[in-house]
Amino acid sequence: MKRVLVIVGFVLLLAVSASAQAPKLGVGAFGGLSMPVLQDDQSQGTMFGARGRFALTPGIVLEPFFASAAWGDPDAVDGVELVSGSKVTAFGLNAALGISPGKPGLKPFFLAGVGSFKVKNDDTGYDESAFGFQGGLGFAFGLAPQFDLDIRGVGMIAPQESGSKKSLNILAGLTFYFGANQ
Amino acid sequence: MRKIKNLFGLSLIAVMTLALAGCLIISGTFVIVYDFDLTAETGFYYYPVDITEEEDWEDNKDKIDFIDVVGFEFTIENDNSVDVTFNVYVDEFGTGGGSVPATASIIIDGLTVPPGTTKFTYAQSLAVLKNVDRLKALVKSGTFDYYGTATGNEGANFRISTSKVIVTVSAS
Repeated sequence: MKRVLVIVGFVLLLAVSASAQAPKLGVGAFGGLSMPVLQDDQSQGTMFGARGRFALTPGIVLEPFFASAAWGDPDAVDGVELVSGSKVTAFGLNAALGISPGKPGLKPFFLAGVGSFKVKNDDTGYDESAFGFQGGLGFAFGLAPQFDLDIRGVGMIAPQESGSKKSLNILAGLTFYFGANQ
Repeated sequence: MRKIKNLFGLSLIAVMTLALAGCLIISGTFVIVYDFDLTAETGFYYYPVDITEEEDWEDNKDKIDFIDVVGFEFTIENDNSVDVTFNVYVDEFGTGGGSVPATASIIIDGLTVPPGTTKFTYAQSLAVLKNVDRLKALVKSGTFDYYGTATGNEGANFRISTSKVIVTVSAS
């Protein structure tokens, strides 16, 4: 939670100094489903987060993000009830190609990102944190110069001490741009 | 139109790159449940556990590189009128059978079992397990010796009617 506030505060600070005409900066929130891939001990859960958006050039944006996922409880295996699903905490930076802030209409995009991914389970004591990466595709809809709604599918790979934990995240988000023309 | 084509091309490259990355880091986590029977001899229990017999282990034996979690589940029937204390130890496979070897590590220490039938769940075992690092190392080898002792009995039966070891494994 502290990290979210720091990230949001940082983005807001930058936004104050942004040009009043060019929508180069934005902040937003997102949420959706997080589906563990090839993990018997987890099931589908939810993911929520916050992100900033910085326009580098028309069509290319950087997105610092914070995300928190809670995977669901797994099904019983051979009659044994397992413990609750793990929690994932991630923060990092995505680069997205295809998003032009302030531009109305449909904007297909793809993205790739890196970050720190922590997988923790209080019941089992499992706690691994490492540098990982993610990538995916999506569509942004310019609802108004100030707002983009986006829907994306993101594959996340969080390397562990050995192997990795992976998930497919289907997320919807809303971004507000500072300084967009009315 | 050209912009859309460029975007499509770049997207295709990105998807292919991600697919390649995925192939390079193909790994999964699976759960193996191994059932075993404990032979009771006046409060002493022994079983040579061989998880390599399990199909999932056999299928992935060359890819197993990390033991995420190990836990146990028992159903215990205590016909005594008093609590019985149950301890569990593990050691290298094939080290004995007649008594708990000095090299064994205790993993469940002083579990109090009341009279009647008690189900000791996987989640409960995770909360009390000791010497987890050695347990994981033994499990990673696929085989280990399992010992149990029961003390405080009045002479009536103290049976472990079902025993399971539950292993969560990462394979790549």
